[in-house]
Amino acid sequence: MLLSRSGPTAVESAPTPDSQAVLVARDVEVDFGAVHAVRGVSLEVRRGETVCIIGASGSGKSTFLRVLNGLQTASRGEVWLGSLRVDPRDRRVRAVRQRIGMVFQSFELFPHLTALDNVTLALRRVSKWDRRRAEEVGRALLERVGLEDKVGSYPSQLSGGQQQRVAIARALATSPDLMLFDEPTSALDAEMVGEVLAVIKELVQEGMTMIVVTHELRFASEAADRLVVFSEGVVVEEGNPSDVLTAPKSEPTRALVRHLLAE
Amino acid sequence: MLIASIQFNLHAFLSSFSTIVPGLRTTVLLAIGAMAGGIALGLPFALMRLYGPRPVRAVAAMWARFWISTPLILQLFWLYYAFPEETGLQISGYLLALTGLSFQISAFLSESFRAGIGSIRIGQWDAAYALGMNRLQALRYVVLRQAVARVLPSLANYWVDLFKSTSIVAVVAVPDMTFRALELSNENFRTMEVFSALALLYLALGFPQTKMCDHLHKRLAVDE
Repeated sequence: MLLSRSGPTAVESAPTPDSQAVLVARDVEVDFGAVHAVRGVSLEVRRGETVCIIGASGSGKSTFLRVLNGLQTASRGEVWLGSLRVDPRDRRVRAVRQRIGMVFQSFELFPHLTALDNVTLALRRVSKWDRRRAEEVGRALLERVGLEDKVGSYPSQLSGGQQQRVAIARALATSPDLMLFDEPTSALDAEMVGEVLAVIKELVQEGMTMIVVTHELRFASEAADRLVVFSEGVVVEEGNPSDVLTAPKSEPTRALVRHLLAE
Repeated sequence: MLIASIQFNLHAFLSSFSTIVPGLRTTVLLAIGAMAGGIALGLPFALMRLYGPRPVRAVAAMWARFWISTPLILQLFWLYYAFPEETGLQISGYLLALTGLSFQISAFLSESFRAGIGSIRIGQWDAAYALGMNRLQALRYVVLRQAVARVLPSLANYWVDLFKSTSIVAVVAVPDMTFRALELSNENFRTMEVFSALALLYLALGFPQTKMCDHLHKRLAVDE
C-alpha cells in the first residue's frame, strides 16, 4: 500500500520477519537546500510485486529511488528492506545494497571491464567468490539476458540495448531481493527499447520484486501490479495501472498521461 | 663564415660517448626512482586533496603549490646545501637528488591524478556503491583504473620531462650523463663535440620513450 503524507494510515514499526513486505518506506523526505525534492512519500512493496512509478522530470521519482537503496540520504523518514534499515550513514548499508539490484538510466557499466567482468565484479570483489565460480554465474546471467555471445565484449563494443541488458545481468548477480530500475529505456533509441523491456517483463513473470521508474505507459499497464504517480515530490495518485491511466483522478496525472501519450 | 670557422672534431665527438655513457645508469635509476616516488606520493596527496578533511586538503594543496611554484634547481640547492647544514645530517647527493626530483614530480602527478579521478562520472561511483562496494573498493576497482587511463598522456609527458630534468642533478655533483659531460668538457675543452654527443644520447633515449608512451596510451585508452 502506498500512502501520501496525508494518507489515512501509517506503518508504526519496522516490518516483522514474517511480513510480506520486502520494502517499506515511511514518510521519506529529501531536501536539497531550499528545494524539497521528495515530500513525505511512503511505499510498501510486497514480495513478487511490480510497482511502476511515473512522473514528470524533476518530480522526485529518481531521487526517491536512490533513497531506497541508500545512494541518497533522506532528510526525514526511513526505509526498511525486510528487517534491515537502509541508511547511507550506517556501514551495514553495503550489505543492504547487495540485496538490492539497481539499474541506471545511463547504464553505468564499467568501461574498462568486459561484459562478463562487469557482471562478476561484485561477486569477486565484494562477496569474495573465486573467479571460476563467479564466472559460471556471470555466464548464466548473460545467457539469461540473451548475451551469451558477448561475454568478452567491452561496453563500447555493445549497442545501448545490449549495454542495458548487461547492466540488468550485473544487478541480478548478487541474487537481490528487490530490483530498482531508474528509467531503464530513456537513454535508448526506439528500436532498442523493446529488447530491454522484454528482459524486464521476463523478470516480472519470474516473480522478481521490482520498482520501475519509467515513461513507458504501455509497459507500465502490461507489467505493473501498481502504478504510482509522482508530482512535485509527492504521490498524487496510485492504484491499478489501467484504472490510473484510463481514469486519472488528479489533474497532475491527467496532464502527465496526456503528455506521455503525445510523445 | 661562422659555420666555416667551426672545426668539429669527429674523434673527440665519438670518444665522448665512452665517458658519458657510464652515467646513463645513474640517469635511468634517478628517473625511474623519482617517478616511482612521485607516484607513491602523488596519488595519496591527490586522494587527500579530494577526500580529506579541510586541514588535510589544505596541507595537500600547499605541498603541490610549493613544489610546482619553485624552481627545481632551487629545491636541489636547498636540499643539498641548506638542509644538511641546518640538520647536520649527511645524506648522499644521489639520495638528495632523488628526493628532490620525487617531491617535485609528485606535486605535478597529484594534480594529474586529482583531475583524472575528478573526471570520472558520479554515476560510476553510484554503480559501484550499488553493488555493495565501499569507497576504497569503488576507487580501486572502478574509478582509479579509468582515471589512470585518462591521465596517461600527461603521465607520459611528465616521464619524458623528468628523464630530461634528471640532467639538473649535475649541479649537485651527482655523476649522471650531464655531470660526466661537464667534467669531460672541462678537461678537453671540446664543448661542441661533448655536448653534441650528450644531446644525441638524450635524443636517442627520449624519442623511443615518447613512442612507447603513445603506444601505451592507445592500448589503455578507455572507450565509453
